[in-house]
Amino acid sequence: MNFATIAYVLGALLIVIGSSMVLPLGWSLYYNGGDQLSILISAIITIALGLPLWWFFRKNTDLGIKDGFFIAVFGWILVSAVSTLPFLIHGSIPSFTDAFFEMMSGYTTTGATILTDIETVPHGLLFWRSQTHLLGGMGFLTLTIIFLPFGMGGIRLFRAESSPGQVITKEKFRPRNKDTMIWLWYIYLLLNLAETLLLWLGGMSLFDSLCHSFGTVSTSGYSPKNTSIGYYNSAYFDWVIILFMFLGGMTFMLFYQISRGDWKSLKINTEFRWYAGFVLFFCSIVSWILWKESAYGTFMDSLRYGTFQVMSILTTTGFTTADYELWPQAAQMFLFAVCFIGACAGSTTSGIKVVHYVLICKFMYASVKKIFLQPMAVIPLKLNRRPVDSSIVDLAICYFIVNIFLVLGGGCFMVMVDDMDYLTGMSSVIATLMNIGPGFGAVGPTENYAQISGVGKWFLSWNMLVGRLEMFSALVIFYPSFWKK
Amino acid sequence: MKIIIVGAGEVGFHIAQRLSEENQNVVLIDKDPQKIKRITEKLDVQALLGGGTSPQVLREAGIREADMLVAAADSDEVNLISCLMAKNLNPYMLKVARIRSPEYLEEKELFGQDLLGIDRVINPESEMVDAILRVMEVPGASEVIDFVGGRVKLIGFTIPEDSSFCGHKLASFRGLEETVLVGAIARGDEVLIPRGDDIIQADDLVYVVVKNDELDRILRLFNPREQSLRRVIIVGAGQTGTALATALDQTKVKARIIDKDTERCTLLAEKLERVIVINGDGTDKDLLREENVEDVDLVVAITGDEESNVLISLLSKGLGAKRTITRISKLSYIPLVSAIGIDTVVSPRLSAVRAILQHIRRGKIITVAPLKGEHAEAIEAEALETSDIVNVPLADVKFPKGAIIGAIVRGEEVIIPRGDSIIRPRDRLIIFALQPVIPKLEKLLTVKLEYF
Repeated sequence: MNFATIAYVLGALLIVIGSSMVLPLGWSLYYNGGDQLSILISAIITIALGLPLWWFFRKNTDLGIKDGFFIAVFGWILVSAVSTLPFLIHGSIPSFTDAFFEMMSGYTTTGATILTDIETVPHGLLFWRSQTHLLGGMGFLTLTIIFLPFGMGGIRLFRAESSPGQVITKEKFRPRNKDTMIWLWYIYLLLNLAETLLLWLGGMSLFDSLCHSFGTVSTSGYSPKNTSIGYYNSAYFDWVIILFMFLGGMTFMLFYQISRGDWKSLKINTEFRWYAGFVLFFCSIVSWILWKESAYGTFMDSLRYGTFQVMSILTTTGFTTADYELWPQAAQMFLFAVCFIGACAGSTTSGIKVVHYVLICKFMYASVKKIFLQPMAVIPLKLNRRPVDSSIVDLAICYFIVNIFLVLGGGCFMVMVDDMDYLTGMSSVIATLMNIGPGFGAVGPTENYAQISGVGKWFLSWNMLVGRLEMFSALVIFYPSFWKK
Repeated sequence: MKIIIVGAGEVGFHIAQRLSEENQNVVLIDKDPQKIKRITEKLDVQALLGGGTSPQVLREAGIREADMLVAAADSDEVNLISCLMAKNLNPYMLKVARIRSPEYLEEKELFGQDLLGIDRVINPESEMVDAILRVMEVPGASEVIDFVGGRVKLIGFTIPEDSSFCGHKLASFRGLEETVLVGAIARGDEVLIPRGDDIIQADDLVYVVVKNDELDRILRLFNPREQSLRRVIIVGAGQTGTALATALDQTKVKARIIDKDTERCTLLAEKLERVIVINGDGTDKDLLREENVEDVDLVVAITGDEESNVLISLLSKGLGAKRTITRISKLSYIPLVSAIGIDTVVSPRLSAVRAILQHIRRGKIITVAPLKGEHAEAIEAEALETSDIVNVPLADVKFPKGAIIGAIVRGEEVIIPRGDSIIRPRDRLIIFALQPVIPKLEKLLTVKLEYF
């Protein structure tokens, strides 16, 4: 491993993170909530840590495959650690474990919080908390790479930070890595801007519009309000956020193609069709259950609450407008199932992702047909109207199984170290591993993660990282050969 | 600039690598998933799986906004068809095709604008034959490149230990300032663009710019023992060997050509007047000795088998041949064989890469020649009126570090520049530059800097 280059990238990363603290600093000065100094000190410390690393190792740009994984895993841990500084210095989250959990949850776009009363935290810190979503949603490594002189090394970092599903869908829609990443960020920021405008025009304050946009497009779920989006009780806000959760769950490459007038790509993209199908199916069935069991008065309300909650969990966002634990059991069961979907590969979402289901379903269909019906049939697996390599199907199956193992194993671990019922244990792991946020039981929509023990919090923080780096990038460091020369 | 390359073989891969290092937008198309995978791992380019002849794939590669198509697939037919498709999809783009089969090459008018619209047909074999013939013309040179239609020559040769220049600073070449300029020195693995205080050492490969009419005088200065070419042995009578032998048949050089294949030898012997055809094994030591290899000035090993070529060259050198030219196909072998004492290496793939790169350079750049190991290039360019370099003394031009002007050609006059020389619009310039500064140089040559 090339530690000089790693130090250089980590240094640059710290500088980017430190400089980004300027935005929350601005808000804290505007609201004057007593957190200005803590943010300023944190920014200075972070940049002071990063500058020497960056400066002394700036001649090193040789980045190997292992270095990419190393930076992805330890870069995320390091950044989450330094990002706790504003909270620790200010004292609104006094414990490092809690602050680390909160920040890891922010960067990994999970949205699981340990704060019981969010609204007492000053505005600057709240903005910083939401801003971690903005940085983490598209991946701050890609942001850093844009500013670093990496050619091929850049794509290694990009891959270590993004999903294996992206290998399946074509990740590179521009010839040069840098252009690709700039475009991704451009689309991402544009979506954020559009949502902020829509919310703001609907009467939300600019501060809240920004925070909620950061939480929506990155499909994360931090809200500056205790009762999340439910605080506003406004159909307009709900539908705007539903729309942008859906957009955030789309493969970003599609936006690029649409921006060039290529609307056909929506039709060709198999994953998008399945994604839309999943959304339609689950939203209508949950809304229908709610309406039939008359949980809400009108049909429109059932549709609104049902759709919002399904979208929020399907895209791994985690906003809430209702306490779904009071819903009929059937609706809850469907919501639980939706946890395992996740949206499209190459979007800001985490979770298992639709593309893996597409591949696995097609593979199952073809296998059964071949074994039982037509043994001599040649059935190619197709994605986006093109045949898929069998190694990619293997990867999808492997990915799915690893997810199931981690959920079951993690659930067992949580119940052992913490005094909780098995539903809470398992759903806390699902909610963090899939980067959703709220779960069921004691970590449900009206509760938070504050009561979980220290060991449990560290374990869940690790789960969030594993989920955000899409399993393999994070798990590869446990191979002994990873550490050998 | 956006460039689409069809075919990710050695030539395509190599060009893609060069261009991506210069921050051009490159899309590479190949049918082999294995190659595509390797490219996505190795190069910063967009790799597309598919046939280069498929309009669908070409459209996906973004042919509408592409500036250039390089058809470098192994098959001539694929190259021709993809140029034809490209012409229909985007009539404004430049098209370069690698064509090898003589059947096509004989029909020059086929490639013109009306039918295929290929702007330049590149035949690696004939490019290679030209390179060998140029080296033959200049005794002692391991590489010769023509500029301005041959009026200025760039010559690369190794400095022998007894050369009078050995161990001297470049600035001490009094009286030669106006006739010769050392543009680049290849020492070991690195190439340097020299300044006045750099010292020439023995075994350096120096590249000098010389006016054609002063060639002999300069050569004698650098390398006193070298004499003009008299005896040549060619081993291998394939396409290249035949072309070479046919060319030498018109000269006074005493040439022999050796080949294993009896039928081929008979056919060739019927065609040739003066060149002697020998049917035998070129790797046979006794045969080489019988043909007096110890008195031969040059052995050209161009059989189809590159390992044999290396052996033949080493063997002939051991037996006393003065110089050798060796044909090698695999580009990755080239640095290795130079290390074991082989003088000049020719490669059809390298020739193809060079010829294609010449066409990719933008602005008024006319000829490009990559120098040893491709760390540096010699460029022939026209000075535009809008460029920052015209009408000021050279000493005041902000030339990028690692680049130097080797010659200025104004009408009939050839000027080897000094600090007080001034470039006029429409002068032809010969510039040496290290690879990393080439993008900067291109900008400097095309438009004034403030336009960017």
